[in-house]
Amino acid sequence: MNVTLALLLLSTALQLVAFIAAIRLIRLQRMRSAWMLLTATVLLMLLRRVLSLTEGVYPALHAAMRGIPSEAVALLISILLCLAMWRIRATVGDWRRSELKLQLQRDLLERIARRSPLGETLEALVVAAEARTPGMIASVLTLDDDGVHLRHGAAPRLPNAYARAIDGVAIGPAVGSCGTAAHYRRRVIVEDIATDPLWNDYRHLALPHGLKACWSEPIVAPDGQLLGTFAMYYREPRGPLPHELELIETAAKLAAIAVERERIETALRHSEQRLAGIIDSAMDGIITIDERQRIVLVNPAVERTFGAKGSDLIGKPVEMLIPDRFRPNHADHLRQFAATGVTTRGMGDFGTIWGLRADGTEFPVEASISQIKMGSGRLFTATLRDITERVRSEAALRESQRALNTLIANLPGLVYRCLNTPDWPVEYISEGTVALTGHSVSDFMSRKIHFGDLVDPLDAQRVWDEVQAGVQRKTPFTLTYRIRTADHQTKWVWEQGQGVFNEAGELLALEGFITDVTVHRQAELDLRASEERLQLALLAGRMGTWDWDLRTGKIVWSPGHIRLFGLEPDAFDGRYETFAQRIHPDDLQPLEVARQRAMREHRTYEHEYRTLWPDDSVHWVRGRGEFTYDESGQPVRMVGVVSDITEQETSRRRLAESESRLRAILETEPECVKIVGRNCELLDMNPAGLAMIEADALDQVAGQDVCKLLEPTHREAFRKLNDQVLHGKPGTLQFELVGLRGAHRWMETHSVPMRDAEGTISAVLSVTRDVTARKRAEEELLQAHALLEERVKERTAQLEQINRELDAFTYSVSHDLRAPVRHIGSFAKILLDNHSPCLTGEARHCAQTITAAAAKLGRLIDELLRFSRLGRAEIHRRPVDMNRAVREVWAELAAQRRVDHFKLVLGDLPIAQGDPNLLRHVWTNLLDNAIKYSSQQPNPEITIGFFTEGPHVWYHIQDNGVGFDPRFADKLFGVFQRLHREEDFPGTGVGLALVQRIVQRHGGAIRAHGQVERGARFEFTLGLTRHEQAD
Amino acid sequence: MNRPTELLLVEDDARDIELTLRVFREHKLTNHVIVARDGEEAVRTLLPDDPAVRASNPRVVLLDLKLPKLNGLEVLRRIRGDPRTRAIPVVILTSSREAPDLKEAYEIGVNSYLCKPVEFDAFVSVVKNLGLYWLLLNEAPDAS
Repeated sequence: MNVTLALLLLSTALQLVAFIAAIRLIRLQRMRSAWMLLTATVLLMLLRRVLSLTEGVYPALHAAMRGIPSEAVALLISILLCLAMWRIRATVGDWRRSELKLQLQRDLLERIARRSPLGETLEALVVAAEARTPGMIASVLTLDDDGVHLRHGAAPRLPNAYARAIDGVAIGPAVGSCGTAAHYRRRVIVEDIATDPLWNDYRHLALPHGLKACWSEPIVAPDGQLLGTFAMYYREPRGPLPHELELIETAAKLAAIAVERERIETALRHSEQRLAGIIDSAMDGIITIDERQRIVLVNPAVERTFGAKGSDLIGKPVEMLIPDRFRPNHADHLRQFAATGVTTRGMGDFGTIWGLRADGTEFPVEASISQIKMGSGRLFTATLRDITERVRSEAALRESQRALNTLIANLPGLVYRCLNTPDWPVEYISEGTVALTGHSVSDFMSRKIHFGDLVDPLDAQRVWDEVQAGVQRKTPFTLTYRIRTADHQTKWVWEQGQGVFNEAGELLALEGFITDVTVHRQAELDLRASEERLQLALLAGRMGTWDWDLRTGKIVWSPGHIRLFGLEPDAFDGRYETFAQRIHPDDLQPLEVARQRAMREHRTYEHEYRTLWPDDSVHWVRGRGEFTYDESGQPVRMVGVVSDITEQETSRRRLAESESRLRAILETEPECVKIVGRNCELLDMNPAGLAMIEADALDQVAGQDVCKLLEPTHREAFRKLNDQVLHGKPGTLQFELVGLRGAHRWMETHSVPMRDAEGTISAVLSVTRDVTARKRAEEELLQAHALLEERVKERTAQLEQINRELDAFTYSVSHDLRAPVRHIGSFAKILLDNHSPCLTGEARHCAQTITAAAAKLGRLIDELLRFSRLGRAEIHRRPVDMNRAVREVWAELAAQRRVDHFKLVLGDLPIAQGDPNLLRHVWTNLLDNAIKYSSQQPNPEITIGFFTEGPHVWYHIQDNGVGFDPRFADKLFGVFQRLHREEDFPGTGVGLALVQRIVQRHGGAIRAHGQVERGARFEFTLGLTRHEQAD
Repeated sequence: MNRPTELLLVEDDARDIELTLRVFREHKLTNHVIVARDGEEAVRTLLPDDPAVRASNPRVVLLDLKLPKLNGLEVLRRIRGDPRTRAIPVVILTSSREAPDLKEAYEIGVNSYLCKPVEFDAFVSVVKNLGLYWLLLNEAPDAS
């Protein structure tokens, strides 16, 4: 290598170094023109050197260049170099003066670069500035965020009291040096604080500290924003020197850099925090990956969306978040994006891809991706959104749209869109119009007909008004009106619609739905009429209704309900508390309990309670209501009726009292009290009755046929009695009861009809007593009677037997006794008559005695037979003329005896009731006796008469004969009893016995009075009263 | 002695038969008397079972009531019950005068009812008058 080439190479290298240095200087210094010139010079020199070095390599180029002399190039280089040097000269002249500034700058920038705290940096700035200007006291004030107040920034040598005093001063046109500088954003030089008008208000603060002059420079950011002031104080009045002005300017700029830097840092920090906050709280997932597609950042949304922890994702390939089948595509897509993406900020295309969760499930993801160049590499940031819900809701929306279309097509009505003018021209109308109006869709769409043509003229104005009101309010409107259909029918329709507005709030059209409610309308009218009638009925019946919306708590009372609570119309405010206040305090709790129970158990609520009227009167009411529940079983509504039961309640209470009294009586009543229905079914029975039928409780027998309790033979009679009583005729019956446990009892029942309120006989009330004991006694009596009868029969039979025997005896006596008596007498007589000559006197006497005795015996037998026969003879009573009977007997007797001298005194005897034959016997015997015993008297007299004693008629016969000893009067009537000797007065002693027998058999009596030789008197009665005798 | 029987005396008591026949005999009323000592004999006499035996057909029958075997009323009933004897006068002559007997006797168809008096004189008088009446005064039906 020759020396030339080596120098040449060295020169070229140096020129290259100069070129690079020039480029760097261009970059560092703002004096581009100078440095460009320098660079161009060095480049030319370099080019020239390279050309000379490569001579022979590019002959063509050298050939072309040959025309340009090397000296011209060198001259050009020199000129350029001179120009550059000239340009640079000024700069280089400033260098020394700028040394301080640069040092300051470097020092400060270092601090800034080290991120020293702003306070420290500013203080260093102040200290550095003070160090370069002896006697100067520097101060930095920073502007508050509010842009009005200045704050203490850094002023280490400024007296503390003063620094504190000016801290927070507001900027203004005459606020010392700093406040004014900040206000006008220009430098303010106050050479003498004592005199300068700017310090008028602050002089008293500064002068005491010996501060006499103050120059202030505003600190302004490159973007023109005011940041604060930099001030220089001096302890003597003075003006600035040029370099001092430069210093203050430089210091202010440096302070601006520091403050600006601090401000940016703060803003950045805030921005970063905000970004981190956004990323962390973003709904969308944010993933950042590097060029190798490894995950470097995920936010919590990603963790949520993919179901993986961030720490598990960082550093992993992003492919793990993508289903297998999409991975190749995804990688291509990303590479393509990396290759073509021109901006680091712009969002990439949205595209739907699929995500893979940690648990293996896939889901649709909407992603946008952007790339950022970070130093040497690039980062891709993807925003991911789980659109499962959206996909689903889109599908649902489509389905709902389809359903809506189907619905519209099948609606029992029409859907429209029309203009808001009185004739309602239609923009859209559904097929439902055909059924509703009879006009086709095309009729409307072609504007052949407007909907307004259909509205009944009677309703047209109202429809317009109501629709306009809805449009004004911008709320949906509902209305019911009449339309006329194509076939001239009138239909009631119900419409709901609303205005359609644009963003500016202008009405575009009306949309809505119209359906046929003719049937409902009629029903509604009917219902309303019925409702009115109901309310009338409720008022008349002192009833009311309530409707309680349990969700809102609002209660609606009908007028009747309000009246039932004694309130003025409209005085009820619909609150439950108002209702509760009107309830009697004792009744509120039970009412609540009843209502809660009904609500819980889904039953009808029914309760009676007292209300307190405003006038303090108490009224009984009965509430009855039903709950309505929603699908979840929550009660949502309670509707009911309340009625006044004050009178019922009062009478019910009276009734209850009376009933309980009656019940108490019935319970204790010892006899059976029962109520029996139409078919003999038992309705009620008291305990005594239950005991009788041997039942333990009423339930055991209630409703059953009571006849079953009767002995079968008595049932018919019982039913007959029941029927009879049901026809209104009370009755009594005895029957035999068979108890449930089989005991038999005899009962006597007395039944009366039971009438209901209308007087209809509805049941039979019976009081039944146990007459078993009585019945038994009766039966025993009957048995006793029967026994007695039996005895009597037996006795009678015995008597008859005796009678028969007596008859036989009498017969025998008649025959068998008389025959021998006759034979004795007869043969004795034959002896006397035919054989007298043969007999001695003694014998004849004996035979005569036999004859007489036999005759006497014969008479005795005849008398006895007569007595026996007559005594037993049957009595046939009939009227007997006693006067005649006496006369006839007297006549008979007169034929047998001598009675001429007798005097018979016969009174007018009453007619007797008796057996004529027997009475004749009586008179015969009595008269015969009277004649016999008085026949020996010189003037015999017989008196016959009668008298009454008590009710009885007595006949008497008296003679004046021999009489009798009254001591033996009772013996007169004995058979064969005689008070006289046979020789004196012949007789058998049977006559009076027979008379007594006959009289007694007539039910009468006979008695005798007499004295010896003073006559006898016999009195007899037939036991009949005078009246009876007259019959 | 083809003279027809004039009187049939139905009497069981021998003393009464003697007394009765003595009265008839002393007053020459009849000497053709048949005496039957009981009811059966009386019936047999009046209504013989054997047709060969000729029945006696008295002008009057004196019938006592109290008789062995058939009593007087039964005999009377037989007499009145048979055409052969229906027309024969029957006089009851008895010791008793019981009303039922009397009534029944007349119902059966007796012609007379007499009581035997206890006193002998009265008895004689009754029997004498009886015989006189029925055997001499009364015209009996034609006895063939």
